Amino acid sequence: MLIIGEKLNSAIPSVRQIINDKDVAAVQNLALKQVEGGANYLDLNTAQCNEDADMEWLIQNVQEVTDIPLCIDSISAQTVERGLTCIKGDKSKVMINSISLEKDRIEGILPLVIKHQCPVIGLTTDDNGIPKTAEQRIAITKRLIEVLSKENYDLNKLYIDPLVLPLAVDSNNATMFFQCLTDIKRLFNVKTVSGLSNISYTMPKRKIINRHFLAICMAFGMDAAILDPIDRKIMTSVTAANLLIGQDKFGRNYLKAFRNETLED
Amino acid sequence: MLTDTLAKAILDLEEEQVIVLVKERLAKGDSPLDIVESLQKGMSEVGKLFETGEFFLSELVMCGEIMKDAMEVLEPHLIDSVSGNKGNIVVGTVKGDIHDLGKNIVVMLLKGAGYNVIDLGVDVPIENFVEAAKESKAPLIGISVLLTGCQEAMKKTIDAIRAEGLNTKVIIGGNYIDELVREYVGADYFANNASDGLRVAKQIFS
Repeated sequence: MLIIGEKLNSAIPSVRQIINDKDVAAVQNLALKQVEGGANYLDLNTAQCNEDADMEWLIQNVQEVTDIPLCIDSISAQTVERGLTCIKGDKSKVMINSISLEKDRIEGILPLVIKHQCPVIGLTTDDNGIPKTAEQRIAITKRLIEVLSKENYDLNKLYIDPLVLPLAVDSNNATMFFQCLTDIKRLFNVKTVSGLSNISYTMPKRKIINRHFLAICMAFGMDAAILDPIDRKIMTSVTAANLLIGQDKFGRNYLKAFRNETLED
Repeated sequence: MLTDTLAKAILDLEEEQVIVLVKERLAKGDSPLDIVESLQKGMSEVGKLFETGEFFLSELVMCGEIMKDAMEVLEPHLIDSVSGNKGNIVVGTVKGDIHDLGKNIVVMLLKGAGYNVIDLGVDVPIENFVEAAKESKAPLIGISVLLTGCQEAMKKTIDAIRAEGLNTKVIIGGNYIDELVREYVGADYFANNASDGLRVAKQIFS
């Protein structure tokens, strides 16, 4: 299970503040804490700030304290390009979040992904918005794969995000999402990814829903998640779910987490 | 503290490193028996940590798997060094006990040392031991045990062998066994590890 740390996101008001304040110590601390918590990637988003310049600033300061691969989170091709330019080290390790079938992303971001052979998150959306049904999501996935294949892109690096919608709107939204996870793997044998917070939108005690959603997604074969690795309860769910789905031989990681005292009841 | 790097790798459950080290030592020309001893040293540390509750059951199981893999690498080398058949030995895990790791190591070592081992497997009924002893006229019978609850079964097995009036020695092998247990069940020898067992065999067949 690949963990993409979500904390360095300008949509979070306190994070937006530290980016605007150019508080180097604070962003470096957030980066390191996520690595310590078990992140494999750090997502960086500056959309709510001075996007291009702040992306560069964020990348430089994060790369000063950690070698962990980064995930450039932007819908702007210009930001992605600027971010890639200032990355130290192997650009083919940088994940791009994200592309979709939306015209501007295909034209703007896709060429950058292809040029550097970056891992990429592919959203199942097109110029008509987020589809309502699993079938439509599968159809978009299929077209997205066709586009990438035409460019000889290594599909092992593709993470499809079937875009979960809130349960509050339709109580079938979670099961529909699980169906997508299964079908995408079965039909195309590509990886899947999701964020956790949309599912619980407007519900109380959202974290309970989020971490159970995560565990069920893992049981349905999800390969990566965008989450808060500083949250020990979520990370405990990841560890326990990995054990339960046979991804933790002899329970080594579970026992290691137990000995490091990072498991939380 | 373990100073032996191979034993330490077993203790740390470093699956891949164990195999690498075993191969390295073979390439260096170390005796396969010495390598087995290192493996056992590590394994017995794991056993101790399990007893004190520091290690969990899954780690004990993993250690067993690593041992099995390491012994697979060693097996051809153990057998290579052998000449001729030194005689028959009957080996099995006592009735009521299904643990085969210790037994398999002893079997491999005995085979490696040139004995013809009749391996009866695990949870072996008393009559199977008796029959095999009669048929093979083996001068030595080895009974492996891990569970302390199987002492009565061991005693009954040995009684049955004695009742047949066979001229055969019996050795019991297991981690917890001591002189008291040996005496209680009426065995001739006991061993806590495979190399002790091998020494007894040498003594009897010399």
